[in-house]
Amino acid sequence: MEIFGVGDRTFESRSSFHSYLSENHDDIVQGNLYICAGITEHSEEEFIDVIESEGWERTESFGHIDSIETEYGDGAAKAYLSFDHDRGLFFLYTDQRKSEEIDKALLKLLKNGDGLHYLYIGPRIIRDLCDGVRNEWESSKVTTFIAKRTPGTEIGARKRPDTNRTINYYGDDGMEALDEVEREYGVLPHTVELHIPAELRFRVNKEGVFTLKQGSMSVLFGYMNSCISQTFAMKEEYDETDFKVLKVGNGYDVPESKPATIELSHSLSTQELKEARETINNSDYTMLDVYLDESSRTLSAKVFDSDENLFFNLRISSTKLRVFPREESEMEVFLRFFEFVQTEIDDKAEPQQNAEPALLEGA
Amino acid sequence: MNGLPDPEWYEVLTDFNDNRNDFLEDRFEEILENKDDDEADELREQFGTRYDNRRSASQHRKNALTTVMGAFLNRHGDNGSIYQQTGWEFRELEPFEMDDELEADILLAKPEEGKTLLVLLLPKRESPDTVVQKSKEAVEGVENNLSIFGYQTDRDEIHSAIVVNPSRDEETNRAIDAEGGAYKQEIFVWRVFDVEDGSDDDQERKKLDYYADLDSQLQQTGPNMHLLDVLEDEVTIQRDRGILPDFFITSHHSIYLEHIVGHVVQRREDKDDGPLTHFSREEIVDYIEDTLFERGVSEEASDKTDHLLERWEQMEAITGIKDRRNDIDGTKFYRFTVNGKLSQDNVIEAVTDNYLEQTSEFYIEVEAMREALDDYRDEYGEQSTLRELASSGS
Repeated sequence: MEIFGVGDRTFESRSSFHSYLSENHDDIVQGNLYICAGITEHSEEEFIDVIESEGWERTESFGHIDSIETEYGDGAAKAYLSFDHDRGLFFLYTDQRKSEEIDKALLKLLKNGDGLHYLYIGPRIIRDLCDGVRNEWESSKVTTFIAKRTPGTEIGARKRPDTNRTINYYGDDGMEALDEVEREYGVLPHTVELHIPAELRFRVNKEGVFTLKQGSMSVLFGYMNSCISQTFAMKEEYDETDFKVLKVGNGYDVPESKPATIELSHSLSTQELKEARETINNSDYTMLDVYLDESSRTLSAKVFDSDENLFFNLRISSTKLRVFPREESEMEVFLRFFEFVQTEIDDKAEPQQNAEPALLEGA
Repeated sequence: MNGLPDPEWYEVLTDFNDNRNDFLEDRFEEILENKDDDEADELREQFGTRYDNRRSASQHRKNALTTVMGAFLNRHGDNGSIYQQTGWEFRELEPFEMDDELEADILLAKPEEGKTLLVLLLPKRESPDTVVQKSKEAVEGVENNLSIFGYQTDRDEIHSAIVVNPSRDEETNRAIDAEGGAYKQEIFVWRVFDVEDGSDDDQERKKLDYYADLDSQLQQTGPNMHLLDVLEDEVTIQRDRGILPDFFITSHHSIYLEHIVGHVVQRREDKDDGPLTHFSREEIVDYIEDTLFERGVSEEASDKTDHLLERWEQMEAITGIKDRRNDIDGTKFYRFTVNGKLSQDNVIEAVTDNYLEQTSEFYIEVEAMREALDDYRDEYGEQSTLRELASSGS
């Protein structure tokens, strides 16, 4: 399946690309326009090197926008790339199939590429987005949502609160239904579709995939801003970490590291610390040398992330989780662990950095 | 640097293997078989408790050692460190390792001023009296050899500090008063605090202070007072940074196992040179040597590796591989005795999951070997070992 074309135009900025898409959406885009948001610790040149090592290539340049593609089935998976140098953010635009080229090629790139990660949007951020849209547009609707109750949730549930559950909902009263299922079943949205009559219809999920079904790119980008800040703050937190070997005293090399800190929404009791230990133990992470010091209510361990084949050290106190990088740390290790913490331990956990909202050029 | 002394179990195991004969093997099997279930269960419980206590003490010690080390590191640009304020710096871990008689955990010093301070941790389950005694001996040991640490210490500038949890400060001060004798003014109590998060800043809230309860210490004047003054104000010592040792040379064998199996599966995946379960002796020596902070510890790393491999082989946690069937660097090869087709996570889990039980069985076997050796010597008297016979050329 081919991607939409832009002719031989040159775009001076992301804004001009968005204007073009907004004006010509109905004519050029087949079905939905998908924007996959990602975050990277690389410069644009390094980023291109990374995607090339994953089998992608930059095929054409349209000023500030490039096209990239990789072989997929009998054809190719393709996307337009917009790279935000200042913030380490990037956006991939395509109208190819969600369950094919997007899930199996684009998102695979974002999950596997060294130093890249999809822009995780926590369920509470999606919930806040719905509230924001509702407050701004009285006529707005949520028409579809997928909501889940995960083990790390801090919200109550009237019905069987110990049950993890997923609710798929379709209906024009989704905004109200979201309130109701949150109250009754303690679920939070992982995917929502929002409809602002005569303005915008779009879908967003927690892997940072925005689907523009109808309306203006610039209005959509305004809402994307509000979703980006938390993951951007976690990246800022990662950017502050470091690892070094101190040469001290009488011929000693001492490895030392500065952690990224995740703040928990409430103080953990010793019992909750033990539960956190079990949760991590039962996950895809493997903990070594686990030490629970009950007198100081701290838990420390070396954690193995087999997806990245990397270790990091972890220290959990009653209110904070500190992730200490070791020699070859990678941003995506931190971002994935942050997502894990929100899903499994505390859905209100937040990076310590109070990053300024990442206002995106192009809105 | 000297090698490590052999642990007691290692001597029994070596003695048994060197003297291995039908009598010993039969007697060993007989002793194991004759243990009734209750006796065996009791031993398992006893060894299990000892394992838990020693592992926890080892982790506590690692925590405390890195905390105190961190306080005295000469970090560039870290204006709040005690080093920056006082000039006292971390010099060495276990500074008396060349001396069987003396013990200290950390050497702090101002070498250019001839000042030495020996830090000892109060272990969780040890009496302060014992640690005070060790402190006295340590100070005395330096007095008797003022250049023992490679710089000249001034005879009047040798002190010791015992690092305690705040709950044991008074008890330790009383022990210094009662047992410190002529050295009681030279021995201080330092407390390490973990302070609850979320108060006035976002830093790791670990603090060190000087606990002076004795009038004599409070009235003390002298060149060390500035350090004590600084500590009396409760210094934040872990400025949101962490020192990341996997282990120290004296760490519990279970800690070594966990880090080593993690290291092996990561390395195999990185290098793609063999099954996840396979490794060479040389790799373990290198890993231990690299992980210990100090340079020039190859002999200790080598001895430690041999002790660990011997233990794990006896426990059947690992087994030697005679033929080299991989591209791993080294000359002597082993593998963990778990399915090599498991994922990395599952290899780690399979190797570490039953380690406590395996350790208890190991000590039961060592006890049986000891008894069998005693019976053998009662029966036949002292015999030359196979090793001795071989070395005498017989």
